[in-house]
Parts: sequence; C-alpha cells; structure tokens
Amino acid sequence: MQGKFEKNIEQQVRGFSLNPSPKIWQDVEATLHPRQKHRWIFWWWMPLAGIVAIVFFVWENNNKKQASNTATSLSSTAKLKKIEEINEHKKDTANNIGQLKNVTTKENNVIVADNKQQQKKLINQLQIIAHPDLSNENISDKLLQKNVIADNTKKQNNSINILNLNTTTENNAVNTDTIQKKNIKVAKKDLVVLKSDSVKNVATNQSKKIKSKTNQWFIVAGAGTLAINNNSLLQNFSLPQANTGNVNFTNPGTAYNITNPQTGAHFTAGIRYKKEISTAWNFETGLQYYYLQNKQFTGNKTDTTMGFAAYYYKAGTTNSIINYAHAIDIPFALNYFINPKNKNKFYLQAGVSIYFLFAKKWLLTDEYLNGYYYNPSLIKNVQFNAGIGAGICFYNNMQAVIKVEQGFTPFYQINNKKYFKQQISAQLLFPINTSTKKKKINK
Amino acid sequence: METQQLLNNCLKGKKEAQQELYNIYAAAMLGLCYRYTKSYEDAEDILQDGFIRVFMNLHQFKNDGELGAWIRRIMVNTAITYLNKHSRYRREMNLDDITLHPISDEDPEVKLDGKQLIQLIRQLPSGYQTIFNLVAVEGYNHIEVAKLLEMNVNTVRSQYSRAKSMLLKMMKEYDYESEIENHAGKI
Repeated sequence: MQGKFEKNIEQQVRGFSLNPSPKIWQDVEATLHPRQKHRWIFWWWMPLAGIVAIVFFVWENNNKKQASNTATSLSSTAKLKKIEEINEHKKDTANNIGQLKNVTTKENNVIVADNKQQQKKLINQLQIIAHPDLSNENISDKLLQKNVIADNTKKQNNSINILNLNTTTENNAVNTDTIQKKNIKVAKKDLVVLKSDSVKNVATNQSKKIKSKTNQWFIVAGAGTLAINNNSLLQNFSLPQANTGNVNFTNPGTAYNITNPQTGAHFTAGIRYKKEISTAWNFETGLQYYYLQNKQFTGNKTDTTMGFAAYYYKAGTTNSIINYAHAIDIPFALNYFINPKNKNKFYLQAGVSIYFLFAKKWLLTDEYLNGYYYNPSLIKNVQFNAGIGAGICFYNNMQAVIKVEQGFTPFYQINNKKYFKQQISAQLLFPINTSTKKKKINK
Repeated sequence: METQQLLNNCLKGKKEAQQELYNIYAAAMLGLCYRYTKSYEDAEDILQDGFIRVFMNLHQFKNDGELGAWIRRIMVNTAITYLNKHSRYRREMNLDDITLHPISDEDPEVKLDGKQLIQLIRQLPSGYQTIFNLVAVEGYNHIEVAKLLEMNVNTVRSQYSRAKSMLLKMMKEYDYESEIENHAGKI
C-alpha cells in the first residue's frame, strides 16, 4: 500500500526515460528472426552432402574398374602383380577351388582335373595360393611345357596328375629353381598333388581375407536417451523422465522453478556403409532417421495474486507434454579394431555427423520466464554432432555399438544461451550384402 | 497505426510492426530497467531480454489491460531474474545485518526531481534498491514482493523500511549539500 511519500516518488520517477542504443533493437531482431540465415545453411549443406556421397561412390567404382583392368593385362611390375593376385583371389581362386564341377578330389591330398584347360586353370589357382609373388602364367606354362600336367582326356583317366607343392606352400618363399625342381620331381611321378591342409588353409585364409574386407552395407536400428541442456560438456545424463525439475504440482498456486535438464529418448533406423581402410581401421558413413521425444513436465503457474499469470505463455494446462521431432543424420566415423584377427572383434569408434532436424513443436526452456514455450523458429535445423563409442563385430558381421553423442552446434538458442543435444545410443547393425560365395567357402 | 493493428502485425511476425512497438516503449522501459541496476549496460541487457520475451509472448496479451502495463510487468520480472542470476547483485540481496534507525516522519516531503531521485535510488544496496522500486514505484504490496522475490513478508517489510530510511537520509544529505553549494555560490 502506498502512502503519500510513495505516490510522490512514483510521480517523480515513473516518467523517467532513456534512449537505448540502436544495437539493442538489432540484437532483439536477430533473436526474433534467425531463420533466414539458417535456412540458407540448411539448403547449402544438403547438396554438399549429396556431392560428398557421389564423389565417394564414383571413387569406389573407379577402384573396382582399375582392379579389373589390371587383372586382364599381365604386367611385369610387382605392384601390378599384387593387384592381379588380389583380384584373382577375390573373384576366382578361392571360390573356384570349391566350385569347379569337373574337378574331383581323390583322397585328401589329390586334385584331379578332367581336361587340360581345367588343369591349367587349377594350376593357376594353385600357384596363386602357393606362390603369391610369382606370375601364375609363367609357372603354369613351365609346368605344361614339361608335361607335368597330363591331359586326362588323352590319358583317359589312366594316370593322375599330381603336383606336390607342400614345401613351397609351407615355406611361402618360392623361386624358380624350386619350382623347376618340383617340376622335375613331378614329371617323374606324373602327378599333381596339393596337400589337403594347404587347400584347407588357403580356403580358410581366403575366407578370412574376404570376410575381413568389410566394405559392406548394414541396416542399423537402435534407441537411447536424449538430453537437451545448456551444458556443452557431456554431463547431466539421466534416464528418460527421471528429472521433473522443481515443479510443485501439488500446490500450483505457488511459484516454482522449471529447470534443466529435459530428458527423453530417441529411436533410430537407417543404413550404414563400412569401408575397410586396413585390417584394424575402417570408415563408415550412412543415412539414419531419428525420432526424438521427451516427456516434459510443465506444471501450471496460476499465481494470480500479482496478476502475472498471463504474462508468459504456459506450454500446457496439464502437467506434462510430449516433445517430439524428426531428424535425418549423416554420420562419418572411424572404427579401430582392437583385436582384428579374432572372430568376435571389439572396436572403438569416433566420428561426427550432420543432423537435419524437423520439429513441429519443441518446448524451449526459458529460465528468465521460469517456463517453457513453443517457438520452432529458434530450433536449429542443421546441427553438428561429435561422438565416441565402443562396439563388437560378431563372427557373422553383425555389430553392436554403444555410443555417446554431443552436439557441438546448439539444438536451440534463446537469449544468447545455447542448448545442446546429448544422447547415449545403443545400435545394432545387420549386414545386408553377405555373399553366397563366403558361405560356400566356409563349408 | 492503431494499437490493435500494431499488435496483429507483430503477431504475424512483421519486423516493421515489431520495431514500431519497440520504438514506442523502449525509452520508458530502459528508464525502468535503469532504476533496478547499477550500470547502464546491465539496464540495456535487461531491456533486450525483456523485449525478446515481450515479442515471444505477445499472443498471451489479453486486451483487457493496457499494453504498456503488461510490457512493464515483463520488464520488472526480467529485471528481477537478471539480478538474481548475477552474483554482483545477489551478494547484496541479504541485508539484514545493516542497521538503520527508522525515521519518525512517515510521509516526508520529496523535494528532488525524478533524475536526482533515481540517482539516489541506484545508490541503495541492491536488495534495498529492488524492494524500494517494487513497493514505492511499481506499487506492489509487501506480500506480492515477498512472492516475487521468494522472501519472507516480514523480511520484505523490514527491508523496505530500512531502504526508505536510507533513501531519506540520502535525500537529506543531498539537500544539505545542495544548500551549501547554493549558499557558497551566493557568497
């Protein structure tokens, strides 16, 4: 209640005014109309992401073509030989050993070809297995010149061609002399022998090599927690709906404080592509859809004693509301395998991602107003995240990973205060391009 | 442009209308913010935050009252939140240890003009400054102030009494100094 003194003071003071600097309005305007700038960024990044994807696949296709061309032309350089070998390994050798219909196995250590052409092919394959540093054609020619390989059709199965390469396979260091000695030896026996263990080992090795080449597509699905708060560091994680702020629901007539953080959950699904860099490292990218939601406790401030009730927007008249948003995520990550030779491989992951957010409504925290309100224009459409994680790649290439992601651009920004997205995610990756070749080899 | 039309355009997000509304009220609101703070920069910060809230919550304004009064309430609340958030103001909010003798004259005469009064109000310790502004200038009663500041009503009452005493003392000293200056000038 005002006395005479207070009324005098009010009369004297109330009319006092000061001219604000122009910057104040500029800042207010920038806060109220931030979308134009971000829309430009949004549309700018979409084609950029597309270009990156196109360049990646063109580069990938070029590599395949180059490898194919190299395989058809014999080159004298060691590098090209290596490419040839790899190509042969990939396409023919391991697979054909198990698949040639006309090749029959007699006992465990004998491989017989029915005709000369198949023998030559088989020899080529054997040479690749036994002598990765030598030209297949040279060896097979030498063998054929010396009549090491007999033509079964001519001999009408009267003899079996056996090439004994046990020593060379085991030593894995072969020179021409050794081959010639073997040829002589073989010529006498007129047999082609390949130790059964070698076949197994080679097949197993080939299988391993192919399996370890994780240039592979995956279907990914997962779920986890979601936190939006004004801490840029990784903190304040809690289970969904664990934190209700400091809302006094039992006595809505009293003032209360609505505080951070807001916690919730996310669900995700998408595709992922992994490319092997080395046995220990691989790179992955993909396209993922995210559904974000949290249950936000809002309360209902009805403090009418001061006539304040209407001055700010209450998010809802009930005590809770569901925030939800959709997002498309393009991740880029590097994986490091701790034990790449094991069947079940553990790996560590680090990466970044571009996050395109689509939110119809999302409650924004306003600490000044002690409340929440909707304002989609303040939500950032394009966000960048960084994440780390750990995972396991099972023997069948299925993978499971747990990762922690932190937005390093804000989820939304009000009053010069930035609010970041933080999430813990558990995801499963199901391989979708496991070839039938591998299965046969494994058998 | 009429107020209602201006409001409608602001609600549609038209920049020109928002700027016009800002231009109408900014100077008076900065004067208000200035009374609650110790520096001009802080007052401008509050003004900026306050107007952002005004525009964001404009759809909540009901035409049953004056727009200026509604904006004023938002500014006062923004100022209080700002003061609570900044430690340099918060430190001075608890002032029970300051002892002053209440003056006997309940309705003393105010001889100073608005500008001089504001300078003196701003010299009060921050807690007193806020309570004095809320009670004496904004016209809130002690219960309302207690709820707004989340304080005990008796504490508000006693602090207002002390703030008033301190201000009156400062006013007397100001008068005395002015008289001396005037007297010295005549000599």
